[in-house]
Amino acid sequence: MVTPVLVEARGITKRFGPRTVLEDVDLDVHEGETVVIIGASGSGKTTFLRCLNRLETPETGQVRIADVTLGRRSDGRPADERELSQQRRLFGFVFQRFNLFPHLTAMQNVALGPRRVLGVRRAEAEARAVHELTRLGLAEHVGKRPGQLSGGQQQRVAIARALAMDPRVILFDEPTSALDPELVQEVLDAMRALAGEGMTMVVVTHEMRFARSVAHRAVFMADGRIVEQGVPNDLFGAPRDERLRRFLRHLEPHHDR
Amino acid sequence: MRSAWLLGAFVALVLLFLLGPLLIAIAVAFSSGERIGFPPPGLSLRWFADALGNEQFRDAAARSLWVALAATVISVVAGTGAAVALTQGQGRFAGRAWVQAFIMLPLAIPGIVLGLALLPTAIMLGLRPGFWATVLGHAVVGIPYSAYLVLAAFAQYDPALDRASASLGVGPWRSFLRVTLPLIRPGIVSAAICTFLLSFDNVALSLFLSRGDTLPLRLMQHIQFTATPAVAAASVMLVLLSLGAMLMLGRVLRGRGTIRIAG
Ligand SMILES: Nc1ncnc2c1ncn2[C@@H]1O[C@H](COP(=O)(O)OP(=O)(O)O)[C@@H](O)[C@H]1O
Ligand SMILES: [Mg+2]
Repeated sequence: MVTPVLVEARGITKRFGPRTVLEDVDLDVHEGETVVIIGASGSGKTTFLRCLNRLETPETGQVRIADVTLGRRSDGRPADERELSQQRRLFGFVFQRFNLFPHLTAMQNVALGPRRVLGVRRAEAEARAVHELTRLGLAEHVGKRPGQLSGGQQQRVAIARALAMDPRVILFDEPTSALDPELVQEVLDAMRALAGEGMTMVVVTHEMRFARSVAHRAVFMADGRIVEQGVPNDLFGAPRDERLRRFLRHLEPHHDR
Repeated sequence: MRSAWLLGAFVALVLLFLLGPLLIAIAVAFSSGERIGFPPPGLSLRWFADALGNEQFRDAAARSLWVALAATVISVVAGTGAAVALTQGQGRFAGRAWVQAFIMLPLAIPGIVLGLALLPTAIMLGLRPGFWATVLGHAVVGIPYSAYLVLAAFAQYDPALDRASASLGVGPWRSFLRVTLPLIRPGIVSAAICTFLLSFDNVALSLFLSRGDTLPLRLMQHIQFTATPAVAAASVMLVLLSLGAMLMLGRVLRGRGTIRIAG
């Protein structure tokens, strides 16, 4: 893309005990770009997304977003927990299993961040929540608890919750893989619309049709490294790495939508 | 058919066994006679009036109430803290199971033994028998109960919600207040009710740690020395109070009337 780089991850290494789960991973994401990450289960995709917004702390490496280096203050000293929380909200995060707050209504789920983090007044936060939920086609469901919503609706509430914080980029971790097949499309449509509006997104997904038609770039991870990347049609059409070829062979017949 | 009939008879016998003595106490409470005896010579409410008018009972009830409230606050705060330490954040340390078992230990010790051990301990700490010694003694049992009930609530709690909070920039403290606490609230409320009841009708520990002035002890003294049906009347009122608390507990545990906190 010709737009400037928004997120720059450099040399990310993450260990869990003796296991190295990510090894020296670099990734640039440009403003307005949609990057899709694919890779076998256990290859480190979730961990990488979590290192981007520091839900996990990498052993080495840096993540910059706009002019902020995560975990560092502007004077270069380590950020404390509060400053890190502030930096973290530059990223929205959409989880595989939604992770909505079960005791709150859809509206309260979406309003929580603006109220408690941005310090927006209650009425205004709720108006913003209703606005985001309406945008995702959930106007009739604002007063419902997560337990009263379908999986697809819950995931759209989760997207609205991320959007309400006005993030610079949204990270999606397999947002449709916990959904019944008939509910996948509504979530993909919402994400497609977001990408169309120019939102910067990093999406871990195995929805190949979505990847081909929406993503500007696809990245293949294996064993904690980025092995190959490129324009989705090239990457999926003419894979060079043997592991990617094997992965695509196993994937296509089941997952193509 | 036959086995159902047998089962019914068995249940009836068990209920009679459990509730029979209570029924006798209730009958005695409504007696019009001067002494405790069954069957009562006639019915009246005079012993309820007598119990309510008895200054010793009233003072003892007030004392027991304050002891129970203080013990409840201490137990629930400490028990919740222990449950948080055992499950949240760095809670999955090695030896966690040992620490948990250790916290539960006071529940395995007979009350009398515990009281016998706590009295010299309290005195060693410069605490004479009295209000605070009783409160802390009750908390020794209340804390493990509370920790147990709050731990059970945490077993239902999904730690992924903490990640959801963090991803929104909600700090750990605020997330605990807004997300964790409302979700474990049923456990905390049941801990509070259980600890309160535990303290309010405790005899074994109060025997050593109080100055004989809690309600259960006063009732015992009354039975030993005077033994009018006023004791039965006071007991009936206590049973009603406990019953009310139990009903509340049932509601909490079924999750009704809880979780009503707005974002
Ligand atoms: N908290 C953790 N503790 C220990 N190992 C972990 C933890 N999280 C992930 N892992 C391991 O790291 C590897 C990568 O996991 P993950 O990032 O979830 O992969 P993916 O999302 O690609 O399936 C896996 O082998 C997983 O078992
Ligand atoms: Mg994953």
